[in-house]
Amino acid sequence: MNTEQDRAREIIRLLDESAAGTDQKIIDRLSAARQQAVAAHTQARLMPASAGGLAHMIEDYFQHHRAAMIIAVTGAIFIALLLISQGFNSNVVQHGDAFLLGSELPPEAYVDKGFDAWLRDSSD
Amino acid sequence: MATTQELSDFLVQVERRAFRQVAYAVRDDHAALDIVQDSMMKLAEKYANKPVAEYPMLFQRILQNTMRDYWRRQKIRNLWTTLFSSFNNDSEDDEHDVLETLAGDNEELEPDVRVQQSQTMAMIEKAIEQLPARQREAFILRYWEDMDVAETAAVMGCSEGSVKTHCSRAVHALAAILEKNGINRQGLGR
Repeated sequence: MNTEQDRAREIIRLLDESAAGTDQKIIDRLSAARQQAVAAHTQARLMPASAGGLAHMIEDYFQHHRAAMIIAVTGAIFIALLLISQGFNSNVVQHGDAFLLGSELPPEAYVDKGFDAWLRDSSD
Repeated sequence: MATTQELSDFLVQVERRAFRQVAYAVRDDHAALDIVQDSMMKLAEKYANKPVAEYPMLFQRILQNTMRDYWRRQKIRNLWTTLFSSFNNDSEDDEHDVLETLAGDNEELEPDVRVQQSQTMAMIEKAIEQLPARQREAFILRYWEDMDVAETAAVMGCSEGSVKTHCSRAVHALAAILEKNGINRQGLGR
């Protein structure tokens, strides 16, 4: 194990030298990226922890669990369609019930096919 | 909660190693810069309320996840490219001359020593690129980022035994590649 670690450390020493000699253009871009990150960090610290943290947790979860995201979106669309459909049917039923209750005639009159004839005869 | 100065100091420490680490994995300097930049932003935005002691592990995990996202997108992009175009994006053309990125800091050395050192570095970097991904990951996290076995296992999402196995195989594989190219322990120790 010591031999392995010694060998590894020798390799790492050379990797460190190589990293120290990184091209200046790369160093400049890394520096610019770091400054952007630091500015973002300042902004993030100003956000309320509860709202920002929870939003980030949810966003992070769905970013790494695409299947869960697809299921959630599909479920939301299905539930929305169901609610719209129920609301439509409810309107029709309510309108029908209100019409029957509001009229002066008994409900049976509306299913009696001879009613029109009776109405004509009784109005004479 | 880490202060902005602590975040800045941490990123200064790790940014060059992070770039090299990603460049070995994706073999594209521009993509490596984008990945490191994205990772820095994710660390700063999503983990602003974490203490600085957690940043090394968090940053490594973010780096690994961002690299996986890059490979996933590349796979899909290459699939469409293969299906709809005869143009092949040959990554072998993407070689860069490693010697160009090496420092001129060793100017006090004799030219032939500098050349030999440069060649050794180039050989080692090429050897690391050739390692299997998990072995490279374990080697870099364990020895270059100086994480212990438990931390490395947490970042890689595997057992501690797997980390030790990957590290051992990586070191032996690197040693074999280097010896095959005529670089022995004396050559490394210079």
